[in-house]
Amino acid sequence: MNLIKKWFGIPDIILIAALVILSVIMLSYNPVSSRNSDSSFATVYVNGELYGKYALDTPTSVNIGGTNTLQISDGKVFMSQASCPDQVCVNSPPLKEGSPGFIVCLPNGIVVTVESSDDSDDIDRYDDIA
Amino acid sequence: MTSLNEIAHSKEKEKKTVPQEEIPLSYLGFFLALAVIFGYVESLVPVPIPIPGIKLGLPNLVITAILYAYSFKAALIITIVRVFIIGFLFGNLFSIMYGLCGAILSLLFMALAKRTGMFRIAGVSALGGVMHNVGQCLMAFATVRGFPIMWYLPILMLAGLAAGILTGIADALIIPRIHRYGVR
Repeated sequence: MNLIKKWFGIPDIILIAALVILSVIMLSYNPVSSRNSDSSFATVYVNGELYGKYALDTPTSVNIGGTNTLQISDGKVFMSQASCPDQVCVNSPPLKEGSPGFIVCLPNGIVVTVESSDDSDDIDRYDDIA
Repeated sequence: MTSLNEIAHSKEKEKKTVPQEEIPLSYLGFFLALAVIFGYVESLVPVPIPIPGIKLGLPNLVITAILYAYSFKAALIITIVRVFIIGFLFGNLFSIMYGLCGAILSLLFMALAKRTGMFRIAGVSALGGVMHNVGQCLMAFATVRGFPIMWYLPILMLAGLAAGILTGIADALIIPRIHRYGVR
């Protein structure tokens, strides 16, 4: 307790607590994905627009815009190749059904997330756009 | 140990009345080199959490120390030149853009927080750590449409907070000690 008092005053504690509370409130705005749905899709957005939806249960390899390669196998989705020098998206952990999070490639504007959907009619429609 | 902290505080009060002396150019170069080396050392340390942007922020250790020991202007010069040097050596144009956005926003908020006189070094540094990541998230949000900011921002804010508190505590220990060697 003495150690804490040496480094933090009351305003510091209030500031830190406020920042923690703000972060937790923002985190709570994220949708919680349901685990028990019939099918899950890897949804790919390029520059904010839907690029494609790919079922997680069928292994595929998707070329996104000639710069990135998205791989789906064993119900997991990951980026296997990217043109950018930092390779952040390639090093991102694979996404599974029900796992929160994203694979983001900032240089190429690609955002990949896993969404659950019971409406399988969606796939065909999105495939047409893609 | 408490007395060291008091020295840091009394020095800070003293500086508000006395006009600030310019940082010697040689010191500017020395601290710049230190910040660049810290940036390199940091890039060697693997981060266990697989979310891009989470790091300890060791160069911030130097920047905060300069802000307290010298001036906002000296800290700003070192920040900008450091981001360009680290970017050209180990990064790319993207890392320079993101680095500048985060580092300058972080320094601005730290200078403001310090100016209020309410916060100690650890609190100021914690705010700096948070604002560094906020700056980078805003940059990503501005450049990439559909960037999931509500997911990354709170996680990176918490990470920046933890990193800022740690470097702030280190700074609270370092700054009174470097005063002894003629660095104010």
